[in-house]
Formats: sequence, C-alpha cells, structure tokens
Amino acid sequence: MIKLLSDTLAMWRKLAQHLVVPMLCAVLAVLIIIIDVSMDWKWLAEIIQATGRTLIQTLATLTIFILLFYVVTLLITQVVSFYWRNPKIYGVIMTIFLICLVVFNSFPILYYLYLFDEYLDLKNSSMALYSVMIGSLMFANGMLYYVFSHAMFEIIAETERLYIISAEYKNTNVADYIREKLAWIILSASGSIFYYLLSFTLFTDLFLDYVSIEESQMGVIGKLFIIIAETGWTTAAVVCLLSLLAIVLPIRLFVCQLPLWLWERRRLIDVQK
Amino acid sequence: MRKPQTTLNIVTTLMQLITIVIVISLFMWLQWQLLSVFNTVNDSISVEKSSLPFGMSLNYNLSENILGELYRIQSDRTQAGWSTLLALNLHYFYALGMTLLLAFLSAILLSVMAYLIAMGIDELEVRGWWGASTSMYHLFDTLPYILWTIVFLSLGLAIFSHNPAGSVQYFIFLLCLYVGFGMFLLPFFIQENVRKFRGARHDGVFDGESMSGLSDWQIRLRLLHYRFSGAFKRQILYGAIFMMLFDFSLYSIVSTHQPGHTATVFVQGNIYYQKHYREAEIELKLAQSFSYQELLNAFAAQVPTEHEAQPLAKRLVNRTWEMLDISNRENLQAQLENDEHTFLITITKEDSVESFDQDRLLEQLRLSQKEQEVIFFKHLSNYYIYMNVLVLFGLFMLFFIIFDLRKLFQNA
Repeated sequence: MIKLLSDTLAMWRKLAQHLVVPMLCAVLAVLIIIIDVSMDWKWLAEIIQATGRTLIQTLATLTIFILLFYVVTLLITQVVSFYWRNPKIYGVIMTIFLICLVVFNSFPILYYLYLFDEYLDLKNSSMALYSVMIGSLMFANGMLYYVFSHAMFEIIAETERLYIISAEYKNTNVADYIREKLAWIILSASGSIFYYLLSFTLFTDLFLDYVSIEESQMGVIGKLFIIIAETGWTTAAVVCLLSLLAIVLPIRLFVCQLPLWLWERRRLIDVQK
Repeated sequence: MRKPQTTLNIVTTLMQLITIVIVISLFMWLQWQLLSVFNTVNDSISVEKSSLPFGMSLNYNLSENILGELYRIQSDRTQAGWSTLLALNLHYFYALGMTLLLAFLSAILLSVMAYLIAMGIDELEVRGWWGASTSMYHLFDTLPYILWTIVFLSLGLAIFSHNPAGSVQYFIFLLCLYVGFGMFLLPFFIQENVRKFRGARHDGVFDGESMSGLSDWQIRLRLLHYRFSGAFKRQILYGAIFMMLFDFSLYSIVSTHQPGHTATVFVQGNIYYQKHYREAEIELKLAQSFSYQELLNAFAAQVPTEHEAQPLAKRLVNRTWEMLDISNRENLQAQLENDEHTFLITITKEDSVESFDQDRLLEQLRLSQKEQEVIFFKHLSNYYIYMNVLVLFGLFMLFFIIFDLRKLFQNA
C-alpha cells in the first residue's frame, strides 16, 4: 500500500516536472504580447485556434493509427499463437503484409491528397477534405512501415525468449504475452508518432493553400512555416512557436506519456503480485 | 541444418525477381509512353517543315515553351524522338546519382549523430543521472520535428548565400536540407540505439568486455562494429529513403531549387509539375473558352458511334498526346466537316450549360498553345513522378530484402 502511494506520488511529481516547460512557454508568450506593441491578443487567439485545428487532425489520425495497430496486433497475435512453432507461415504472411506497406509508402503524402482531389470535390466539402487529410497523414512518408516492421521484429525476438517458450507449460498462453509486448511497443512510440503526425500537418496545411482554401483554415504548423519562410524568426514566429509548445506539450503528455506510465505502473504491480 | 537457409534463399530470390520484373516493366512502360509523346511532337514538327517553302523561318505551330524544353533537353529544337528520350534519361540518371549520393551522405551523418547521442544518453544513465539523460533525449523530441528542418534549411541558405555560384556551397546547402529532413527520424533512431545499449548491458556484454580493460565508451564503439552494424546500416538505408520521400513530398508545394545548379530528381519533377504543367493548367482554366480536350471528350461521349470522326476522336481522347500532332487535328477537322450526320452536344461549365452543333464545334475546336503545354508537360512531369516512385519502391524493396526479410525467416 505504501509502495503504491509512493509510486503515485512519484508519478505526479514526474507529471509536474513535465509541465514546467509548457507553462514557461505560455508565460513567455503572454509576456511578449504585453511588452511588444506590435502584437495583440487577437493574434494569440488566432494561433490557439490554428493549434486546435492541427490537434484535431493529429489526434484523429493518431486514434485511427492506434485502432489500426490494435486490429493488426490482434491478427498478429493470432497468427503467432497459431504458427509460432511454424515460422515459415508466419514469415510468408508478414512478408505479404509488409510488401503492401512498402507499396503504399513508396508514394509521398501529397500524392494521396492529389489523388483524392482529382476524384472528390474537396474544396466544396469540408468533411471529405478533412477525411482525406487524415487518411493521407496515415501514409505520411514511411511511418506505417517503420512502426509495423519494428513491431514484427520485436515479436520474433520475443518468441525466442524463455518465458514464451515455456508459456504452454504454465497457465498462460503465447497470445497474451505477445499482445502485452505489442501494447508496450505502441504506447512507448505513441509520443514520437504524435509529433511525427503533427509535423506532417505542414503538408496538409500547404495543400489547403494549393486547393485555394483561405489561410484562416490553416493549422498552426503551416502558419508557422509561412511566417518563418516569409519574414524569418520575427516576434510573431516566436509567439507562434511558444503558444504551440504551451498547448501541444501537455496534450502529448496526457495523451501519450501518461497512458504509458499508467500501463507500466500496472505491469509493475502485477509483477510484484 | 541447411533447411532454414534454403527457405530464406528461395524467398529472397523470389522477392528479388518480383522486384526486378516490376521495376523493369514499369520503367519500359514509362519509356514507351514518353517516346510516343516525343514521336508525336516530331510528327508535328515534320509536317510543318515539309509544308514550308525553302528558306522560310520555321513556325512549328507548337508552343514556344515546348520547343524551348526540347532545346534544353537535347540542344536541338528541330526534331524529337529517340534522341530526346535518351537525352532526358541521361539528365534523369545524372540527377538521380547526385540525389542518391546526397541522401546516403546525409543518412550516414544522421545515423552517426543518433549513435553518438545514444552513447551520451547511455553514459548518463549508467552514472545514474536520469534527469540529464531524459533532458538530453527531450532536447530532440520537444520541438516539432519540422522546426529542425527549418533550422537546417536556414543554416544551409546562410552558407549558400555567401557564394550562390559555388557548387560546393550548393552541395552543402542540399546536405543541410536533407539532414534537416532526416531530423524527423532522429528521436526514433536515438530511442532504438538506447534500447540496444540497455539490451547489451542486460545481456552482460558490457561486464564481459570491461574485463578486458575497455572503458564503456570503447565498448560502445566496438559494439557498433561487432553487434549493431546491421542495425546501423538499416538506419542509414531507411534514413536515405525517408529523406528522398520528404524531398518528393515537397514536389508541388515548395521549391528549393536554386537556379544554375543541378536539381535533385524530386526538385526537377517539381519544376515540370509546378512551373510548367500547373501554371499552364491554371491559365487554361481561367480562360473563358472551352478547351480542345473538353470539346473532344463531350463529342466522344455524346455523339453516336456511326459518325465518321468518332474513331479518331476516341483515339485522341485515350491518347491525349496525339493531339499535339497537327495532322491528327487536321484529319479530325476534315472528318467533322465531311460527315453529314447532325449532332448537338452539351457541356456544363461553372453552372452554365453550353450547346455545340457541328458548325460551332468546328469553329471552337482549336488546340491553344497553353493546352499543348498542359498535355506535353503533364507527360514530362508524370515521367519524373513515376520514375521517382519507382526508385523509392526499388530502394524500399532492397531495404526489405536485405534487412527485414532475413529477420522474418531467420527461424524458418
């Protein structure tokens, strides 16, 4: 009980430590707006709205990605638990799957945006536009292949470990262990995947410009990129960056880091039991 | 004991064969398509040449931009065909060589950087300085990755602006740009390397090696050679592919091309797409009149098949580049004039419906120079785009066959 309490306290302390940087960024952004006469609160509100649009896009893609990973995970665990003593079949199934990913990932993200733009009237349908943007982010430059191939090789390495080999002689099964390993892989990588997707919204933002959708609909990464490209590292760019970090870092902390810590904590308790 | 090797060899050979067949057949298809375009352009030039009396200056009835591009590719604007295709391929493969060199050099730099940072993090962890090791990792993982790209782009531009004519400065600019693209992967690579160090420590590799008097730093460097070399090479190849994909992603929205220097294959594709095709297409869309393709599509879809001009119209719709040949257009014009079937076609454009009978169609059916450019440069930019996809697919498959296939079948 005392151990549980101290673990919880340690986790809250860790959370508070991670919140220092975003709070500092928020304070700095506010201070700059107060001091610099060329900046106004309307600008900050605009940046916050743009960050919101980017976050909706990123979180929607991340959710779909995790759901997809979960479905594939279930399939992999079934395949492994059936065929882990017959690696040839496992190898063939995974080869086919990875080759499909190779084909999808050989095209850049914008190819998918253009492809859909040709068939759907994206400019006049915001729902279709956002669906296409989220779908395209899924294929953002090789990420699917990188994450899935990494997961598969981790599983192969895991099946060689003693606790998996001996699983059938104990009151457990291979699929449970594999599923647990895969859950850890996705949870530990979710923070980086979140940032990766967030950064790739640059392309979806610039695509809005390409299909002549007004700049006010653009996300924060596209806005920041345009400010820096046009005027360099001005006060506006710094405020934009600080506001972005002040919002995005806590979101990343609560959406990606916290579930990992909670999951690891639960695992620790299970092990101790 | 030989069985696993046999399975792996069979699968590897099969994969190699499939990749080679796909790459070669798609390459040949792209070559054939482009050759057809160049031959059609050549036919158009030949017709004009023969119709003009001796000594008169040539006016090919072809867009000046198309002829200018022929001159840029092969230093000759009076003919097109095989030689144009060969010259274009030469340009492409020269730029591809430079792109690959650039991508691999940047990927090596990135992987070395990731390994060194991971060594630093591992050292901090060994000393128990967890706060410092976490901060070191977060240094690269806190800023959205795209900002690193912007920082490296600014650095590259600063170096380049000192001497914009210098090829070394240009290469350094591109190198900075590519390393900036690769910064997306740095946190993934660092994480991967740190885990490998932890794994090696857990397996007792560090304890064993330190018995021979080596320091932790020396052991980590030795591990790169003896234990992690495969993973390190995998990172390099994956990094190179990713950087090229990133450059490719920018192909239609941002131009990083510096005039007077050889562009990467992706940037050259961008130039064809953005500067030639897209600009001509926008101008064509802004024009009030109906385009040749719009009229012909409506004719092919709405007029009964008995009409004398239908077979040629359908052929031109399917093989748009043949519209560039003036003799095809003249033949179509003649067939439309000669046939006695009457027809009325309707086209909807921007909420208004327009009708065309035979006379109006004959009057409006003109291939403007802008439309010629749209057709010609669409094929040129498609050639670059699909060749680039083919290169990336080939490299991805190479990556898969060399590194990942072996792992999938290591126990098979």
